[in-house]
Amino acid sequence: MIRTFSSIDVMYLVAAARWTLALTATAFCGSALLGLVLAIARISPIAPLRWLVAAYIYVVQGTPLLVWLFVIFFGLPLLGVSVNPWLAAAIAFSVYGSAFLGEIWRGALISIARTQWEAAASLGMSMSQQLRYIIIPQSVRIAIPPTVGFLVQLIKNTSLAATIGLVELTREGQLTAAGTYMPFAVFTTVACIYFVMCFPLTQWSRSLERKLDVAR
Amino acid sequence: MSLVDIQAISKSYGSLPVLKDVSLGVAKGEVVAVIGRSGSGKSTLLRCINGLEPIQAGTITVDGVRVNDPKTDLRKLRQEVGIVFQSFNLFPHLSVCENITLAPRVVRKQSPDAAREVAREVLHRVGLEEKLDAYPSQLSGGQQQRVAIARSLAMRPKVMLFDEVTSALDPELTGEVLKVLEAGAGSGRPGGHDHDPRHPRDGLRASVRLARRLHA
Repeated sequence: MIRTFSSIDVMYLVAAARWTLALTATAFCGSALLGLVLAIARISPIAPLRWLVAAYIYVVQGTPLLVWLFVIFFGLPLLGVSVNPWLAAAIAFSVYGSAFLGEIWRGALISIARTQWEAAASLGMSMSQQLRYIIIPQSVRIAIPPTVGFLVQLIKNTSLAATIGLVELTREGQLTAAGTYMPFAVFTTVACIYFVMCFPLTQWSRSLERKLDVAR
Repeated sequence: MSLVDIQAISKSYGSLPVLKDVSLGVAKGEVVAVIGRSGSGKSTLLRCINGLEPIQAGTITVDGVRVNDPKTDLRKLRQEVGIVFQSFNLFPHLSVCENITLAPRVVRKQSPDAAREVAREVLHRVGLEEKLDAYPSQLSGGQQQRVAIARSLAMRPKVMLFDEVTSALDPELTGEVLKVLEAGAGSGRPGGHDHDPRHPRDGLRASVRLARRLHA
């Protein structure tokens, strides 16, 4: 039965956007935790660890996120591990995000002068103390703008989770379009909702970049 | 027995020999100036003493502890060997007080109050008590270098190494740093070097020429 695209449908889309935000938040936390470990492992003095992490990052960055979603959602059940769409999406986006955040943050860490490490080491600080008190606090300023930029990408990329049946904003849009037969109006509305979520972050990222430039 | 005992050390960066068969003994309370041309290995020698650079042959012993022994805890050793760098290397994100108290707090586990007391005392010795809450960027070069000296002194090291501490300063500013160094020589902390021949004045009891040994 074809119904018309009404304000109640818009409300449903906005409600579905909550799942987009929830998936983004979960994926960002997973990416951040794993990404921090990867970034530190990439600058560790242990060479095999660096190679291993570099290989992980190259593989993840060199393969489509959509394929990871399919591998985890359709592949894991074949191995006897059942995953629901939410868990599959959370894992896939965390894996994907960790590789990118890991590289962004590694760049921020190595941008801090070698002499800062040496000064801290010369005062008897351990490697972890040097990172915690000297290197990470200074690299955060450098890392924030690209990290916010990554967050915007992540919000938009969560739309791929629609392909495994997770009812977030894009999937809700598909369902609404199928019911109303008004794909143009529906997906324009969907695009507007994405824009409203991403635009403030983009602006924030820009202003942070400007502030950093002034500080230099 | 010498507090710092260097026996026939050799050091090269890749295929470039920097130190060849260098020996030196420094007694407690003694001030030694290491002089030599640019590139003769003065900085390298100092960086070997606190283990920032590995050596290929010979032995370095500081207060009975072998520096180039894999079993030696370099963190422990560096608590006893302060170094002040040519380029100050203050931590730009921390105030003067935090720069000075960080290592005593996290490495020596002093209470914040005790560490702040020590900070006041060492800042008084370098004549900068009023800069306790300033940030490095608000200080002149000479003031920054005096804070760097205070930061090292706060760890109460047995040995102080000064790596051309005035060479990055304007001639008008070197005086204030030299005054601090001369006052420090009387307090029983040996060490130091500079290629400025005016620099090691009254406190000087021995000087070592490195130039001859190079590229032999």
